[in-house]
Amino acid sequence: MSWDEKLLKQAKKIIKLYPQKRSALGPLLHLAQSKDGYISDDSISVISELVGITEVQVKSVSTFYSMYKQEPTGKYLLSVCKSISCEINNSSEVIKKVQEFTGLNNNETDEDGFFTFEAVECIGACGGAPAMQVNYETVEGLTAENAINLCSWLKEKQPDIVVADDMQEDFGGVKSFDWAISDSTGATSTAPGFQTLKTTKVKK
Amino acid sequence: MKETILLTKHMRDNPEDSHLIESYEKNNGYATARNTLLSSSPENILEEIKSSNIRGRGGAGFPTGVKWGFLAEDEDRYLVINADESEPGTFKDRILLERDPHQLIEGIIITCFSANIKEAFIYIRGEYAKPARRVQQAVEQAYEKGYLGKNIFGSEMDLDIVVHLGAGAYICGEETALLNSLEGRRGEPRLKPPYFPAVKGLYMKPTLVNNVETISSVPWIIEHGGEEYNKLGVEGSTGTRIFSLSGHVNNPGNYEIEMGSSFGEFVDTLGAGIRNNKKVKAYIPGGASAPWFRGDQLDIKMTIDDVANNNSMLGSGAVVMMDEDTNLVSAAKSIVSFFAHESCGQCTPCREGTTWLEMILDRIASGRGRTSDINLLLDVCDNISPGLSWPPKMTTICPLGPSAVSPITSLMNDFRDEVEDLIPTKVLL
Repeated sequence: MSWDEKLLKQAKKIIKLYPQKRSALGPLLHLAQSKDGYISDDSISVISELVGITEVQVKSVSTFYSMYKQEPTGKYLLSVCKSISCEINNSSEVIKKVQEFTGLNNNETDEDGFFTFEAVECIGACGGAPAMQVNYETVEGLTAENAINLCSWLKEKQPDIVVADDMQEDFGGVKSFDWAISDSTGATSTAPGFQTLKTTKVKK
Repeated sequence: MKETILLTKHMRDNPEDSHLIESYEKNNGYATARNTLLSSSPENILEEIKSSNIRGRGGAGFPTGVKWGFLAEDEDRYLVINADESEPGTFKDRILLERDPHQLIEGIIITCFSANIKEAFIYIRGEYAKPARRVQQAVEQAYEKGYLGKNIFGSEMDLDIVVHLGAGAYICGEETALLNSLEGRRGEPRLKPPYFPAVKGLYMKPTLVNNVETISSVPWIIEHGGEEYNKLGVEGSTGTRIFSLSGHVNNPGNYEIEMGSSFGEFVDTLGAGIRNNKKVKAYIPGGASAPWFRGDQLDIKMTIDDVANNNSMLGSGAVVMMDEDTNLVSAAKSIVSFFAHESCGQCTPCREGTTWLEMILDRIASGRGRTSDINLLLDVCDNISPGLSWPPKMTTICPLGPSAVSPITSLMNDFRDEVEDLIPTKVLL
């Protein structure tokens, strides 16, 4: 097994939350994603032992869900929404410009492992269309220009914690609703930033 | 037209800290749950929910009291909150999770008291990381206060809540797929019968699966009584409901209203009309799965039954306005692509059909359509949902496949010219 003690301890803590071990499979795959930026063969073997199912069963679940990446992702996962409300609010232009800026096709990662680009289905930001997420932190009310500015900013600042409120303030526009609560917590990897997974931190 | 504020009251009155337990309690939060546990009975709660006539807010609109009544007897029973909000156009659960998570937890406590449940799960879509963090923080605060865990409020009741993150699969909003996902399996819907969640749900035990908005409504209903709730709205669509308005409107957003006004009034008042004074060409009344209405059908009333009688559905309460300049073929293609991407692949008509529909629509939208494509589109639709009727006839385990048919029948019934205009007449096959 090549997960370190700390990660294994956390995995066991997650397993204890559920009446049956296998229910922890989803969260453990998120954990694997946060560790390597994708679901490595190594993680599959560790998880299969932890949960008590075969590696094939783990792989079969891992490949079903779009958030578990089968190949390494960059430091920042850029997910631009293309579903109906964004589509009719010109998301195709945002997608085009972000692709031009990063030089990436759909589901590609650049050579220096910085950006992964994907055009995704509805992220629940329809009132602030067009919208995108960076490591699952949402920015709403984008323009193509601001999307590029956001990518340039990521390139320049390389923040270790991606905070939605920061990005929204500098690059966002119309929001789906008033966010109201000021929040400086964010994501630390290409897995969703969530306490139980320890993939979130508060920016000081 | 004005909003009627029940569910969104606390977050509006306390915008900056509505997510914290201190703020929630200062505004009488958890008092209803406490009173319920200490002085009410499970039967009373169920009666209140039944008399409120609230119908599920996830999309299907099933009467909540009836659903609770179906729950089979067993030592182990579970409550699963469906927070996998992924229907394109919908963002109303997001605001409830982000800005008032304690209202949901209070609703869960009361629901579990009524249904004698000791373990609840909140299944939140993975892309809702921020809402999930708020809910997790709220759950931890509730444990610290003794509102979750053992002997809640000093009563006999024990309850644990686990916040579970999904991983990007729309199909997990379908309740049996959600249960599979929560069991650590592929999110593939189960056959009903025999797998009705109320009988054979999570771990094959009786399970209630309810939407975030439904359970967030429970504290108000219990505090004020089912009869009071039943007075709001109209018969068959009682209470308030949060509609997510998006598309080409001046003021997109979430609006809590009593059902019964017309879509036109809703858009013109709360939505402040269509941008640049344009006209509505078509609109989606209840999320991407719902057949569209034309711009001359804005007088239809926003109730579950009125929309159903006009051959569509109020669904998840997502209203998407498309103005006169909208390319409806591209719009339909976006929706069909969504379903093609989200098909779980179990049933052939859906797996193959949605992919074909996407391919043909893409061909038409890019000017490479063939004259035979219109009939081909309809034929594929007919294979997914025979007769193209509404509500759809099913050839599949769940309604995802038939949902992809909705935008195409809308196009063909009302906007066929727009499709035909894109097909070059020279290419005759």
